[in-house]
Amino acid sequence: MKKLGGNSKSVVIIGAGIAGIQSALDLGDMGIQVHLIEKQPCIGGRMAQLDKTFPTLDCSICILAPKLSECYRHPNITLHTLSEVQKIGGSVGNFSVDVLKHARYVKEDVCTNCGDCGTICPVRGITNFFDANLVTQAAAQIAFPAAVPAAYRIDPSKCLYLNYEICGLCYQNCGADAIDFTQKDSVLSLDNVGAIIVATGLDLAEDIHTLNIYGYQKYDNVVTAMELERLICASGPQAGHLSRLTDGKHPKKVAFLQCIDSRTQKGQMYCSSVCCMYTTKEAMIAYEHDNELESYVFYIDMRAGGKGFQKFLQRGAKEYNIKYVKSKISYIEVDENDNPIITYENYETSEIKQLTVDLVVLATCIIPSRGINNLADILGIDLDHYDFVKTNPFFPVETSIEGIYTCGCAREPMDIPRSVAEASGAAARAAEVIKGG
Amino acid sequence: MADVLPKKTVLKDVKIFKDLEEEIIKTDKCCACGACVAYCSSQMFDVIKMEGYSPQFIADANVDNCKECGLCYYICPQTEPLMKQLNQDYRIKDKIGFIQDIVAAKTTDEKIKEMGQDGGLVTTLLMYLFDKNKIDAAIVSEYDEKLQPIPKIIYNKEELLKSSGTRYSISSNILPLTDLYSIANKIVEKQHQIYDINQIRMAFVGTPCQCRAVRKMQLLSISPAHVIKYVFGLFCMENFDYEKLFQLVKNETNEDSTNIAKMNIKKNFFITNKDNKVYEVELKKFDDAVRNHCHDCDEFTGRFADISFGGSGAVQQNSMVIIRTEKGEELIRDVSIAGYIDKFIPKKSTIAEWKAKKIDLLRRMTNNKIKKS
Repeated sequence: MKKLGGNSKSVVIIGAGIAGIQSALDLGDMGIQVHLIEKQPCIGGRMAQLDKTFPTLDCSICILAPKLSECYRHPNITLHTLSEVQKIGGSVGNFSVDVLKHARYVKEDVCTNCGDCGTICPVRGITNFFDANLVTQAAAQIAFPAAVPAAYRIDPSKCLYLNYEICGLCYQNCGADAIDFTQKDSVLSLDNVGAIIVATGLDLAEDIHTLNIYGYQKYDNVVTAMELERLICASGPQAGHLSRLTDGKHPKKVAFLQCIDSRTQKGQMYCSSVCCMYTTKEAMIAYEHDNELESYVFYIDMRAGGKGFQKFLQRGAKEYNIKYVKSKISYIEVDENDNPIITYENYETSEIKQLTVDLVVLATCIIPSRGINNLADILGIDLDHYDFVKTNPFFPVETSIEGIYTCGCAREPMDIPRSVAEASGAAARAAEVIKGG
Repeated sequence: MADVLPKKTVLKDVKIFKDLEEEIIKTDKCCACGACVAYCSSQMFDVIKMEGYSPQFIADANVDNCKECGLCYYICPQTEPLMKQLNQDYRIKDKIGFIQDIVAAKTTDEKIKEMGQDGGLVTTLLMYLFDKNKIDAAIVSEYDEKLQPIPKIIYNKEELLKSSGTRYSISSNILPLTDLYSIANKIVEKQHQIYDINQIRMAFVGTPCQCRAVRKMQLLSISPAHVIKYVFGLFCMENFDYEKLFQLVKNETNEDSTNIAKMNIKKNFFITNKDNKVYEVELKKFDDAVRNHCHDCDEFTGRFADISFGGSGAVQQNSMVIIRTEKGEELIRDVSIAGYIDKFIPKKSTIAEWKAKKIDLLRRMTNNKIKKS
């Protein structure tokens, strides 16, 4: 592999989801040094949580996993997990970036990912973000078994040794001697950074505020799309056997409600862009698990703007027993068996109707990543009034500061293929700076 | 004997079970809650067990199994660590603790009215939690045929009635949590929403010292107390040693424990035998049977519970209810909206006056408890 001279400029990429990873691989393959910075203990971002991708219904992690390990082993990519950008200085072609690296308390290169620390750790009940908070883990934790880097991490807010100087059981139990409580948070100063790419991705409406519309959190059989994604995933909490949270029965009738918290003045004013498609995808996967399944999609209008997308919807209706209902939901109640009852107005017939289903899935809105405001202040870039990174329609990957680029959902809600395309675009623009194009 | 390798540890000067034995158990300050044993055994360290009402090493050979992690010492309700933090978290400034609200109430359920003590509130609240599928199991105590209280895990409201009423000697209520796996198995048989055993939801009913142990464990969020979602405290003036109590009962009434139907304390000790003969014995006569740790205890109303319950101060057929946390307040509100309980409304005074009077009374009783010791 090509490698530019030792003193050449590097690129800092903030966020190691699919967009950040694609940019890093593109730049790394060009021989450019990349520092990939991720806040979470592992890379992969939202795509790693998904079961399948649309419109091809490919297994998400199967596409992603090779990229994850390539990223980890790439000679030109340095991965900084549990890290955040703290300060930048300089300008295009010569930024300096200070990265706050939080201690993992486990030696990344020594840990064998055996899990003995997690088994013996007495601290329990810490929710796992990766499984949409549906399962819990110990203070010695890993998001999922195939996480990259394949190393455990100790949650400093809960660890008994770090807080009270008792316990130390993981240290005692670790056969590889990988636990290192002497690690401290440290600041890494990167100089001679030519360009920066902001690929901070997305969060979902349920992450920032308690979503209490349509009975979510009140009724167990109302779940979000991300929760369904984990429930239906073979490596998820139910090992791929979709069953209801209240009684474990396999749902036969599922309702998908569109535009939750999006396109409304009460939530986000914009269209979340991917929900029409992922809802159809989820209904298809659910049907593949159980051919007796009926799906009802309650939508305002279907937005299938993409290659092969319209055909995908038609396939859903024809082959996967999905019924699309143009409607406005009034409210949801449950009957004595916890089955949600949806009251809605059918827009086509103007009738008020009720439908009892087994499970309701909310297509919640994509929102800018939490912490983007803070990062924007540090970088000095402008955000639009929804807090997405502000860009010009004709220069979609350029931020308001020269030399800082952006891609993927940091910029606006978009699907995976577009994120990947933009990531390559941002990588190309960054490469221009480095190679003096 | 093979040489024992020094234990690999990062810890310095941590107090371990040996210290707990010296400071608490041998000095008779142990309240037999079972927290240390529940923690240690749930980790399968094979070190300590409950022998009657006293935790001890399983055998001399097991002493070396001790991991010296120090958690048993930390979570013991009778030791100092974590108390400052807990007092802060539960907004405790004086002996009676933080009071969000105080009410008197009684159950509306006829069966519970018959069986329960006072207003039958704890039983009713547990019934509500089971009905609304808010808990999967509850830890309560039950009498065996010799009137010895034993801790019991119940999985549905049908089992609930057996455990209503008051016990006057202690049961190690945290102990049954040791076997979280079999608890989980029983729950999973009925309900499938549990993906891992850490998601079981339980309610805990216990004396103030037991609640304190649960809260200590929860502060550290350690296994197995992390599954407890509701903590119900019981007013507790003192607790009797089972053996001593029934020895004294035998001396006073000539009745065996197996022939006693009911016991009740209202100023004096009332003992009813199975032929419905009632004996009244002065409470003082039982002083020798009071457990030693109760002498040092300054908690009457259960400061660390979500809600504490007791008969003291309430009018006939009602229970006094002290709400301590937001979770407790929400529960009482929901339960009363759902019609499971009737709240008592004072007729002769305003509600504010009534509340002040009741708090004052409970404060006096707390002081009495402290003075008595």
